[in-house]
Amino acid sequence: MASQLPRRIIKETQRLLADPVPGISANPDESNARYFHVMIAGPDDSPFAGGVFKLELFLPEEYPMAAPKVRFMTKIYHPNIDKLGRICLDILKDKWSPALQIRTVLLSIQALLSAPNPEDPLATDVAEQWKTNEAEAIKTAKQWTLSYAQA
Amino acid sequence: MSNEVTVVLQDRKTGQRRNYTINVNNNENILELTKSVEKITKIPSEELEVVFCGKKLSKSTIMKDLSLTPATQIMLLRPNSVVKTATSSSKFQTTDSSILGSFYVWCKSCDDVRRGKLRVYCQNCESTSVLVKAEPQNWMDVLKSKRIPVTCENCCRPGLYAEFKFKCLTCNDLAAALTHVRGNWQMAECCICDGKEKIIFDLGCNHISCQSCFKDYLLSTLQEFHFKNRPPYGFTVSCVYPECNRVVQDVHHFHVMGQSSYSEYQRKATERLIAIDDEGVTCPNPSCGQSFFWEPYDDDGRSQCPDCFYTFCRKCTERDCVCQSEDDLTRTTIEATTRRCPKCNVATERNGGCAHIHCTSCGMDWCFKCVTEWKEECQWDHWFN
Repeated sequence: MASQLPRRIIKETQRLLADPVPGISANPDESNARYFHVMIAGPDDSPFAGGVFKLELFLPEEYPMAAPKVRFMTKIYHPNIDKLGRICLDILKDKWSPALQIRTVLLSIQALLSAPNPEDPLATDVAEQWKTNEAEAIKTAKQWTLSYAQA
Repeated sequence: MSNEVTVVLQDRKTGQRRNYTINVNNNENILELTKSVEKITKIPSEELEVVFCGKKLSKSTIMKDLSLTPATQIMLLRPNSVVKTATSSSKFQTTDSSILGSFYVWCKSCDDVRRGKLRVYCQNCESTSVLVKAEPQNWMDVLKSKRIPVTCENCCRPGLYAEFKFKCLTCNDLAAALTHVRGNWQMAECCICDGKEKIIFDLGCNHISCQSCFKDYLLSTLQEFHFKNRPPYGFTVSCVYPECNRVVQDVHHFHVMGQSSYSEYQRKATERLIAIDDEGVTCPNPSCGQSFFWEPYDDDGRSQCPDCFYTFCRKCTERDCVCQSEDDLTRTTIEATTRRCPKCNVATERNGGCAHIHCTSCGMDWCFKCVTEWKEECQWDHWFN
């Protein structure tokens, strides 16, 4: 890396490795300390239970003044996550605060898996399905978890 | 280290007022000062009361705690009848630490945050020969006028109030009080960088950040001008902590961004304010762009920019009005493609996304379809158009 890594990123990384959040792992890339390989286990109380979801997280140059960029690499059927894995989460956009951390972002994403929010959709087709026929939507989500999210 | 100070002696016994310049050692106390005055004036030191910053000082106060400069005046009062000082002064006696204060100021001369000192003047004659009748209890007491009554030994009028001024402890120039800056007495961590700095920003919610992180936060807010209009504070920012609604209440704190960024903040905030005001207009001259308020009386629909003197029609923004002609396409296009925020009236274009508009000017959430506040009904029915 050309520029020196800020102390805050070093401290956050150390803490993520030494004291990981249950059900979440985040490891910095060997060649880029701002790029993290993330795994989130599907929460037990959700249609994603039993799945392991791969994500990528990148800390832009402006971090922590700007939010980290996070994306699902594993295909997932969720009203707030689109085909490209982009996540609709307020704290990743206008509600970002420099007092938030990688840890809090990943916890919020884990919480989003437990509580899909079809009223603030990114994948509009999935959201429509979730609103009109929730049982069917949950069934599809479980199928996708089985097909794509096995470690 | 010694220092020259000017002592103003008010002798009520003889009705005289005299000035003396006295050399004092910074490690001496007030008792020793009165002894020095005794040597020159032959007035017994126990008859002298020392008044500074609106208060009678205790004899044990050390000179250096007063942060004196050669320009400082100390008043010595010799009352009409000698009452034992121990009883007479007890009414106004307080800890002298509040004179120095543990607060911070923005000093223009030093171009930085500095420790400050508080000075008290008579609001009528600006003399420092005043005694406060009550201790200031909070920031409002010293920032607002007519809060703390005083007696003034100089002009002696009834019904007087104190006027407080803040000075930089480093250079002694007048400075602006920074109510959100304080010492980090618990040595708490900055909620952005985890660092432990001596000077911290706290908007009153205990979510602290260090000066360098607070500066970065302001600069990133300035980049796309995410300052929000929060009357009566004007365009400001909220606490860095998520969901915390405390805001910076005084724009002087924005000076930490540096002079050029502060000017940019002022210019953009003025532009925004004028954009949301019915009587505000921006000069259409491409080399100018000044924002100003026009005079509503005697109005013919035309205004002259106070900066570049360009005269134009406010409706079509042309020098030679084209409002009546048919080539008024720009105007028509703007009218057709924008809708006005129901709260602040700013023209808003929707160039993509859903119908949920978050106004970047006033922060209102509204529906582009109904042009009213964003409601649950809009959430269900207007999201997909």
